[in-house]
Amino acid sequence: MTIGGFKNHPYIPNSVEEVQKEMLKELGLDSLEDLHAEIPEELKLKSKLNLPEPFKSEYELRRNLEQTLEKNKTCKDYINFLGAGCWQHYVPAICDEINGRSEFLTAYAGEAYNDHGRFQALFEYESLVAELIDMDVVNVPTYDWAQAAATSIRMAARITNRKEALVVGTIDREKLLIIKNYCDPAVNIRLINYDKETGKMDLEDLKAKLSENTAAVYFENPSFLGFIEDQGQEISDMAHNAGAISIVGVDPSSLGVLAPPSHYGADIICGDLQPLGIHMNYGGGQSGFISTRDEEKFVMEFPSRLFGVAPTVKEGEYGFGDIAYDRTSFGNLREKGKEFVGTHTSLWAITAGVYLSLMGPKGMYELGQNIMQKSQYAIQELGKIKGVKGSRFNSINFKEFVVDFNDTGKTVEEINKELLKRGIFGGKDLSKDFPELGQCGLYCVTEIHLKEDIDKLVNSLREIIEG
Amino acid sequence: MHYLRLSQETLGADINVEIGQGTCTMKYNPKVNEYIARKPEMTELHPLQDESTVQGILEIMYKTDLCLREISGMDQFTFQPGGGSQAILTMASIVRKYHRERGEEEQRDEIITTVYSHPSDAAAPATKGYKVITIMADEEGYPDYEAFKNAVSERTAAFFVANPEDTGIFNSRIKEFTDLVRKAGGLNCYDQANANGLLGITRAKEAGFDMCFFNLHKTFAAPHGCGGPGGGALGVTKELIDYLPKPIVGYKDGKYFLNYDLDKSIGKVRLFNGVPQTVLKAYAWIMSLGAEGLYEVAKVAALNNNYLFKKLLEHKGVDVPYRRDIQRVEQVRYTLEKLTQDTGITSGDIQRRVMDFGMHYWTSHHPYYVPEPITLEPTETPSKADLDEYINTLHHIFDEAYENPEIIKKAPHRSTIHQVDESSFDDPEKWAPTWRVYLRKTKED
Amino acid sequence: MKRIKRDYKVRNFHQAKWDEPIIFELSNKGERGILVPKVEKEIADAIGDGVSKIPESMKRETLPNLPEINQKGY
Repeated sequence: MTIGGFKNHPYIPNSVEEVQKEMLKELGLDSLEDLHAEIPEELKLKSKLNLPEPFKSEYELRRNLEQTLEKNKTCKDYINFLGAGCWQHYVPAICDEINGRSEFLTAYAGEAYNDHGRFQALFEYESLVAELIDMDVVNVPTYDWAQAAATSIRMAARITNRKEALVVGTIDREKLLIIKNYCDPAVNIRLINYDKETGKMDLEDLKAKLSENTAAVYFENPSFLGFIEDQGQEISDMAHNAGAISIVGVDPSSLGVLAPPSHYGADIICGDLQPLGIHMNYGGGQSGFISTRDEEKFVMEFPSRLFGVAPTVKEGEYGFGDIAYDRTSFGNLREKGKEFVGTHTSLWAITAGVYLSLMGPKGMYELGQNIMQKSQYAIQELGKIKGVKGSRFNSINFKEFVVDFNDTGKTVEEINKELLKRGIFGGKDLSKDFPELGQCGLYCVTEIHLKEDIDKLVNSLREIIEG
Repeated sequence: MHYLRLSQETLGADINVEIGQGTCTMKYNPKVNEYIARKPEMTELHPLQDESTVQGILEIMYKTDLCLREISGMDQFTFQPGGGSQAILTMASIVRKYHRERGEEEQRDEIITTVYSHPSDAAAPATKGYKVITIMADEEGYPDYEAFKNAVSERTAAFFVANPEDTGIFNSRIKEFTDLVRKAGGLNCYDQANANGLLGITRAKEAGFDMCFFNLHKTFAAPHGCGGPGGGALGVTKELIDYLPKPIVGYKDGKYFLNYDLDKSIGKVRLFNGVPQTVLKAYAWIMSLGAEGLYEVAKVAALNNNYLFKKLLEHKGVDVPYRRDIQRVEQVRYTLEKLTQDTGITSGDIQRRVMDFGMHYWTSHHPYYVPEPITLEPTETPSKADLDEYINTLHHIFDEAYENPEIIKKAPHRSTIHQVDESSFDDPEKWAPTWRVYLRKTKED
Repeated sequence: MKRIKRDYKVRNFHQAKWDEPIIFELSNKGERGILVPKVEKEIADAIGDGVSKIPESMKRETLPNLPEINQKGY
């Protein structure tokens, strides 16, 4: 029985029958059916797949898919105050220009010669992020911040040969699920309590939980709930005194104005590149970096590729290549390598490099300042609404903050539904993930929000809550 | 201009006859798919938006799921894994949770894989705490059945395997392998990185697998992006749906929704919903081909590969491990052992020389089980003229190896740079992973 | 004019070679690649500079050592 294929398809040059005949003749075969001879008859499909009819032209494909996508309401159509790990920032046109270049877009795993530009762009990304966080070694990034945090913890567990990690109590519950799954069964994850007034880490609880089993203490700046954790040095010192490693997750968009974790004792820094010139893409823009000092005991624990610079045989040329390749699962080691390496998020690394080089030191400072001012303004104005606390915690925030609706008599769900009708995506409802906070929403304000956007939010909420 | 110049110094797959990146399925990435995926209706979506405002992308994810179910025979897909290796990690996580639920987690502490499956099939389960048993190939290149039989026991948690393996050889007894594992109480996990030659020809389900994954950035024509973001679409049989990471996309009463109701879920492997723009590109590709198109893809991928196989072996320096007279599916791992013995030129040397002709090839993962390897996978993308050019170029270089080996030893000559001095890369005192470290370590007094 | 001979079997290729510096070497003090929005005057009047509220221990003391490059030079 023959199933029959799609002849003369634009994506398949050799679907032209004359060419097929010529090539088959070369192979001594009569028809395409003579291929796949190694697959046993009982495993071969006897009829064609039951798939929808394909579009008959590129025009029809595009028209249909565009119509389907137009069912979405985007963050351009609506004013968006959602953050929670994926943030709406301005994406400079050049970022899209570069990551849309077909050479970068279609490259994969070429060598240091034919992909010289890819190696250099990734080396530059590593070097630029290293300056931003004032650290020495940065990886070719992994999937997202959650994976970067999970791998950082696994690295710490291998370095210390210990089996427990203490994790900040205000961590994103989705990220926690990822870390727990990735660390199971190698590392046990315990949460540290947080202060109900400030949101900051409860150092007494940290002290009580630190032990000779503690491989690492993991916390974040700014925290998932948006406030700045200013006890970084104390936390790192306590971790170090217990023989543990201090790991800090960071939002890189804050680092024009906030001290990088290397300045308060972090041994491993991780975070997400998405805010650095990458579109949200419904969550498809995440990309996780990991960074350490240039010490062999840290470097040798990275599962990721690390591209380094080196001379070539010709004076004056920069060359690039893999540092300590054999530690990876791509090296000689397979299951004895450090975790595993595969296809992660290199295109976003190149993009983040482009972004940082465009922004420069001043741009990153101005970005940070803008976000500080806007979020303080939003907190102030929201606090003027009856029953609303602009910020649940009395700490200073960066970019995100917890808006407390407990005294409004309305749930966040009800409020968000009303906001949606007014063309606004309200902040993430925290009532399920943080039941102890009651009815609170996590709001995000960045440089893309104009005063009029914040005012519209405030006026809409006033209308919804005060009637 | 700096980054544009760097892009020009990157060969990429579009302007390269990219036959040489075996196991990676470097096919043409249709421009229209990229165009659609870069529209704001895709790029400007926040992952936590109300479901009523993301019906378009959820519809596309749901419909892609339905297509992949049909292509594989599985009952439900998740798009959370961001690449093949993360999909393997997800499979290993499901294996652990499955045996935990059954009270057999402690007892089942081994996974079995094969030497010509991807290194991640060993490394990702090891990351999940499993001991790894690797089955070597028998004299004909198939995974050694007797060794496999001896390895399967009440300690077997799962079998992780690619088929065809990275040699291009299809294990025709695969059903016997999966049956053995099933009888012993283990799960069968299929790495379908090499699925391009099998679309519409044979499926995971009929071969006895409980799970499988596809690389959307390989088989389904989404671009590789210098190494991601990709997509590792993972499918499972209905018995395992409850174990999937949350959420999956559902459809009820005319609405698409995110289904968190999975009571044995392993939790989560990637933030939010994976890489939806990659799913969109995969869907666009499937919908431009349909069932007959996918079948043509598999047939032409096999035709191109076996044509290359036959023509390349016309040179005395190149051979294949195992039998020459059995067809490979979509790729072949070749060996230049004889050429190296005759001339002293290695596969690594030739690899550098290929770049002088605007082409590229990949040797193999390490360690080299096949001596002096080359792994080539033409896919359905190249024309016959492309294939002939590639063959001519390799033959030309093989001739050079016999006639003028010096030119190869000193290659590349016409690439962007010359041979890199790699001596610092494994030396902690000298390596320079960032510019600041380079400046520090090379400081002149 | 004679017909140009194109009968060779392998390509006479040369890859692009720009001899590009590392991005830090392209830096010129004061150059900007992109301008960031500034807050409205009303917000600045109401809130102040925003950054002086950052706890002392968390203030970045020196700006990151990123390159300063104009937009054509990126």
